[in-house]
Amino acid sequence: MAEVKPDEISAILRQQLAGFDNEAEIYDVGTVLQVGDGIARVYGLSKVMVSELVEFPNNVMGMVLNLDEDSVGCVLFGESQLIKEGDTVKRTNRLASFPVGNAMLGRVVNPLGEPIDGKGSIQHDAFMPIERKALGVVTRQSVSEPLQTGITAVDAMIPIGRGQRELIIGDRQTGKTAVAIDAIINQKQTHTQEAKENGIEPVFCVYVAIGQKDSTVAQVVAKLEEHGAMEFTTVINSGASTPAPLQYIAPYAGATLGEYFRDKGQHALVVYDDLSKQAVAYRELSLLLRRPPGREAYPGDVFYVHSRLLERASKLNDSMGGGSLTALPIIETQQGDVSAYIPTNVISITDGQIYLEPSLFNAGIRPAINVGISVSRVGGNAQIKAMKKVAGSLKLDLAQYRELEAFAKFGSDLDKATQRTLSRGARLVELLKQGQYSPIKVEKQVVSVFLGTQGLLDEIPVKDIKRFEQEFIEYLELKENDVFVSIRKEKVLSDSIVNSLRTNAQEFKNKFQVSE
Amino acid sequence: MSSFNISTRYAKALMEFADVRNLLEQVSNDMIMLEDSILKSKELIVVLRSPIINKDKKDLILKEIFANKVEKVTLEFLLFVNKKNRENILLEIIKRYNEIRKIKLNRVDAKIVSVIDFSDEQKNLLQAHLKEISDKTIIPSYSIDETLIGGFTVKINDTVIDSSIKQQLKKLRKNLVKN
Repeated sequence: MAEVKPDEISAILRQQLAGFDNEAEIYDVGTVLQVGDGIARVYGLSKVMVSELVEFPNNVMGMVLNLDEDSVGCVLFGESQLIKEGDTVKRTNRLASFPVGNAMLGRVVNPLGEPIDGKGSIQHDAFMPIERKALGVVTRQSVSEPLQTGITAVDAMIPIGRGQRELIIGDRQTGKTAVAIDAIINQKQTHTQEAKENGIEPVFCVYVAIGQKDSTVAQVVAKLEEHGAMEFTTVINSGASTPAPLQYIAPYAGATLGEYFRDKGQHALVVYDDLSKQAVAYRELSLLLRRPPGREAYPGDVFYVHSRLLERASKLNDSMGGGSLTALPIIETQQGDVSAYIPTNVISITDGQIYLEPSLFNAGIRPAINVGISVSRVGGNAQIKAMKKVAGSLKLDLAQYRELEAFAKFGSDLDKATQRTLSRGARLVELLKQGQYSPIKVEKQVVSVFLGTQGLLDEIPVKDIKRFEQEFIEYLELKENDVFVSIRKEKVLSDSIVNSLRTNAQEFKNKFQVSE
Repeated sequence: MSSFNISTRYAKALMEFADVRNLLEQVSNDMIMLEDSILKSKELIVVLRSPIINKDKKDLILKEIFANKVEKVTLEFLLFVNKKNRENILLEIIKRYNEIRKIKLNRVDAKIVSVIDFSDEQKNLLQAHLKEISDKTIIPSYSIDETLIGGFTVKINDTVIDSSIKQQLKKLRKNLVKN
């Protein structure tokens, strides 16, 4: 039997523990004066910085938010029951920060970067402070590349560019998260070999869940995994049961991770789901810190809370590597009231909004996007030429349709032109309906929008529109796949393609069986 | 205004006044004595903070206790604080005075905690060392805490120099968990 000598063991132990220095440690301390409601007032800590992490007993971390003359106000990231008056607080000399690196992809973490998915520790590259100043004017360039969401209605009419901030706003249960999740799932195609050949760079995604039910987040993660989207996505979760300070810092942590990719010259998409809950969390801790309340009891700097977060979305210029950080903040409105405090704030900060309506949702129009008041202020430049060409009249047609929609019940009493507008509109609305988790590639979007706006669907009954579109695309894929390849590669709609689309559509229409 | 601001203002005023009268040394000694004696007497603190006991009574109490033990200026100051309805923060004012005085004199308290008593030689060595580090006159106070296991800690203002075995074990534990 082999023998293990005790001095061998100690030699190995010594070797393994080498690098552990036993020098005296020097640190700054303070004493807890008062604690409760997730807030602690600390005496001492005289050299502490704002937003520095401090260490309480029982492994509770805190962050300094108020520096007063004779005390320091900290928010606690753990339970306040574990801390009592007179406890010693230690400085960490580290600003609140978040671990970054490619190892974060595919993981579910809390806003401090600690894994909560049970997959073990994360070998991160570095820690970056969660509060960073947004980049200045000289380092940026205007939005120029598209960020395809895979949702036809969005990509055609409310296009989002890489580096843009597009707000998704709507009441509860209108599919806000669904739009964002679809956008994340659709980024899978940017990670393929095919995208690489076409010069499309991969987009890394961060999904920040703030104040949501943990079961909902688990469902989202499961969906992302099912569609193979978790490989390039990090989920930062601060659920409804986590302390308000963690919910408050979660979006900044997400932005930090996004910036890591952006600064490497890569592309990132960060979804903040949702910022109204973050504002509520910030209101809670502000009131506990005794900052004066303002409108709707939010503190005076709630605008700055969101503006400095969303300002970090950017498209860098080429000398900075050309990376981008796209932000999709989500805001939940109450009873469609967009003139409440937080919605107006965020609407004014972002570069456009996608407005989702419960009435449309209930009428079966999904995604329930109200095209009339949804806009994208900068994304137009990022749209590919082919899409720009076919989608030009789409918004106008739909606007005219909505104007006349009220008269639809008069039916045949209307004049020809009105009838035409109505029937065109009804078909376009039908065309833009799309199931959840089924993103459509941009070349197929171009073809279906082309069908609609060119009036090629006008004779097809409304109930058959979806089937016609699907079958036509399958037919075209088999017969003339070159059309798709050429749109994907050239990104323009040449006359020859237009002609081929027209003739093929006519041919197919003759073969198409209208359902009874 | 917070009591911190108020006590700072009163303390500074007294210091300036004493300086003008060339009584700074004596008044400062009085203040140290006052802090000690007030801290030792719980009843006095309660009386000073009590809003039920009226001003004249408090005047009498203060006079009776301190009349022959402190400078005239100091006694006048105590009565003045009482007159201005600030007797409830008298202790804070005195504490603040002593703090400011220490900063002015470049003195600093050092709380030294160890497992066993230091010998005088060790104490001298440590104090000389601390003086070198902090560049200030050290006023040491020693105490014993056996939970440190070994070594000692020094606390100067908010900064702790920790060379105890307890802290090193904590650090070792952290290192092991991390890897």
